[in-house]
Amino acid sequence: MDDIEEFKKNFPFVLIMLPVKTHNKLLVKLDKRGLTLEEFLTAFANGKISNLDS
Amino acid sequence: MGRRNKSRSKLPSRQKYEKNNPTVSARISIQNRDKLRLVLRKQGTTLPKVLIAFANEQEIKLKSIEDAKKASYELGFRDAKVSFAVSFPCPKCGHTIFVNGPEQIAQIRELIIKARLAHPECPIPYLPKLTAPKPTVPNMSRPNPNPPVVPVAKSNGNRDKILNFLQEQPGMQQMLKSDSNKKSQNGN
Repeated sequence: MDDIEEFKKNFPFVLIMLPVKTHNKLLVKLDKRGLTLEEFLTAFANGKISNLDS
Repeated sequence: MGRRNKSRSKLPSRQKYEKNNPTVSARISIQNRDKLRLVLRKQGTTLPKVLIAFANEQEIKLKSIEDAKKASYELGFRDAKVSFAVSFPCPKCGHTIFVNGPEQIAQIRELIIKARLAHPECPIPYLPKLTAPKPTVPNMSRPNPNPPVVPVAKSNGNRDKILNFLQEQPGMQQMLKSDSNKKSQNGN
């Protein structure tokens, strides 16, 4: 149990609620690029993805 | 008493909302989460906005070869201009004037030649070679009734100029004197 708690502490959840269409598009895009959401968020945090017109 | 039933059914409105807005979840390390928050704060955006932008992002269209050639040529020209272009400020308005055109280039070339700029490693200044006519070997077996006429080059003063220049150089006077001494010894 301690390990799981430690893991949860070190790797917290990031929750985002998106509209269904966007959600589906996002899954398709991630799949096309061969990325997982974790990898995408890590890359964005490290400045490797910056040209998004948000 | 007072204990909530965990398996309580959600409100219909909540169910509808969650159906229309499903949750996307990910676990990332604390360091990356802090970085992510910092980046989002710097860019003044939110994570849902970023994900929506990524989802709606258009595929990058590749440029045609001709466009790429044109772009690279312009880039190279700009770099070359920065490296090699000669410019000077206008004495009247102060704006930059670029040296452009064969006449200006010829004038600058002339000035550089007059200034006698040379390679720093070259010890002796460049002088044009004096071309002397080849000596003809006379045929001693029988006299030639029509001897060949050797054209004599007209002196245009270049030789004298060069000799004067050489005499002005330090160290060359001694060499010229030693040459003349040798010639006089051989003549004796």
